Amino acid sequence: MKKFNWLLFTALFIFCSNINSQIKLNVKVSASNLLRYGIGKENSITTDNSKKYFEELGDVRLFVNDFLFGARYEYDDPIEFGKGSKSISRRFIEFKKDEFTARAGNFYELFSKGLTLNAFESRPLGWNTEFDGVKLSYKHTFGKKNPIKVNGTLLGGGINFTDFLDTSRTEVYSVRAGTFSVSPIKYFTLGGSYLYSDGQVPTGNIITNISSEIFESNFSFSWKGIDLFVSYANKVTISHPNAIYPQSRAPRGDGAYGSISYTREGFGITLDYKNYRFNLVTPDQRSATDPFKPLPFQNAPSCIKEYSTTLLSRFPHNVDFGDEVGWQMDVFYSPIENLTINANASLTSRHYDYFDADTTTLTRYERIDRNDDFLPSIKDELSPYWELYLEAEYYVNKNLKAKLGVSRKTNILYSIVDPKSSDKIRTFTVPLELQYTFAKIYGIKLNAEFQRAFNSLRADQKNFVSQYTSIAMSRSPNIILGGNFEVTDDNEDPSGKKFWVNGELTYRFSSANSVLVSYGSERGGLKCSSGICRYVNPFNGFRLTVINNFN
Amino acid sequence: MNKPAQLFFILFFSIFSNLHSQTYDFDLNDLDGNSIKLSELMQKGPVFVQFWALWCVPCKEEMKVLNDLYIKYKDSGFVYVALNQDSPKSSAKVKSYIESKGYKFQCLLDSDLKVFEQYGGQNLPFSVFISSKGDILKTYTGYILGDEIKLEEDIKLVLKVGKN
Repeated sequence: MKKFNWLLFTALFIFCSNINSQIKLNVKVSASNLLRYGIGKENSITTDNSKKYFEELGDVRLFVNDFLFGARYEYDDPIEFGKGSKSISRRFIEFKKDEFTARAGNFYELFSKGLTLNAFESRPLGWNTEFDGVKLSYKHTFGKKNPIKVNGTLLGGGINFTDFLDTSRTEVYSVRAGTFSVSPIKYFTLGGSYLYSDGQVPTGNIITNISSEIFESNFSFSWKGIDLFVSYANKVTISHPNAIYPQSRAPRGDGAYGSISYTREGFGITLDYKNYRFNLVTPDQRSATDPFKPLPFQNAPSCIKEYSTTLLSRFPHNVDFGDEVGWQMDVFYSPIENLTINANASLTSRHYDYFDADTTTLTRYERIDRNDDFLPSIKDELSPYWELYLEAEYYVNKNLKAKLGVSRKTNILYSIVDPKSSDKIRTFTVPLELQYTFAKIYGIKLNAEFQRAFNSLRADQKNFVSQYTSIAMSRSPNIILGGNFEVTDDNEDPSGKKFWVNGELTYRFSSANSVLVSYGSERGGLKCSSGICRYVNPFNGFRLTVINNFN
Repeated sequence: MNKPAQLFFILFFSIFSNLHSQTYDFDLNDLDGNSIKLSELMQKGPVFVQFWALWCVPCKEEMKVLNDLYIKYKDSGFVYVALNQDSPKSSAKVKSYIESKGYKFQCLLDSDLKVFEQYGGQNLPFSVFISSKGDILKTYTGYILGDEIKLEEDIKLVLKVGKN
């Protein structure tokens, strides 16, 4: 580690040791630190490659009266995923007085449900749509008897978006945007947003300059356990002529999202609907470098369930925010105090099928329209994804909990060029969780998952079974010791292996400071967050994570 | 990293390592759209702020425990508030989950993670215990089975329950 980092650590420990001293100033300070280190090999069927990463992130925040100063020092040598840094990678100054907030520097922002703007960071995926600019926010309530609430944000700034799947590609955007909402009476809220962006989108060595505009309006209603939300956004992207697009183009796209839920004590049901048509293109035009795709800081609700257990999240659906329609229904029900049932159903697909209308050797796809294009379809040609999930969680007593689920998923990625080579995956998964606390501070947690899968792209054995087991023993408040085991009979797993074993130890040396070490093999696979997915290579080696928080 | 930047960080930690840690106010909407300020909650007593998300299993374990502690100590002035971190993909389900569990504490929406960031949160579970005067008493990362014993001790200590 470099000399500076030792100095930083020394300073951090001095800071920690004095955190409780009582000099009263109108100054507040907080800091946090994350260190990640890993060394080992990434496995594939043909070869093993050495893998090493070192990431050190130190965040500090200084509050002086109504001002907040913040900075992040990042030292990646190298980063595990994404584009690394060895400098101050985040800095900002924020002023907050009553209902007014102004911020200059780096920030993230979310407008409504994200159809216009949802800038965020997902470090495990290497995804970052952080702004560098200025943001002004104001909220106020007029009147007391019949209050009218208003809320608004204006922002301007730039985003350098490094393609998380190809870090040599960076898209550059200059954004000006605003959002507002007004609640004239208690149950209704009306809102809208506008975004203008100039962008430079590289395709190989050629950069396409684009200008985009998005208008969005939304409406929400909340009354006696019923909550309704509706949002619609319309986007136009104008390209400036270049070698790829000799003539300026201005395709328009739109998207809608809605949700309705009903809740009462012991019961809740939510129905989500999405209809994203921001970039309806023929199959041969679908590309991650398409300048007319949804902007990287547009991230609308995915309308599919997201899991935290290993096998349930093994074959996720990669959402295409440019062309997808679907719905999701989710129910929570507690018939008795100790039992909670969660049921989820979802169906998603593309809007249209296409056919080759050219009778020569060339290819020219044309759309096959359908009347019910506002609903998803289960036809293979529309690349459907559907899922049914049922889970019951039962507390036998205060110390013993059992959770059992069952999931059925189908995901099809249709190939119009060769339908027989379409990627069809079907899974049937049963997750079981048992948790027992004894002698007040000791705990045992068992997670067992069984999965039967079908993958059409496997050359020989298309059906295979995977079993995952994790056992963790803990002693509050300091120690968790765990082991993870996974076995499969899949002869064509990308790692070339059939058995993975991994041990973990977490030690909390104070309530906010912990260290986690693990050693062994991990199967890897597709990892997703908010509909964004990347393939994570199987890994075999040592990992260290140190988390510190000094408030 | 260049030398001025190094000096900035070293000076920052050195100068401010002796300052008293206090919290700052936040203003978020609850599940019914009502605006809730931390400063208003602090008027009732010490506030336990828990950050959670639907995908975070240990957060929900901790939430069940904190709900029991909230019921037990709310008459003594203990305030528990859960700040939801779910992104728009699942924020519509949050109210459904809370209602189905019959929880009575306040749940606020921090979908853009602004408050989480200001408290220096890195991973979930993450919680901050704030005194009625606004001092940050303790920060918690992670949740281990059996932590309820320590949590209850901390609450009793702050409320001075069971002491003569």
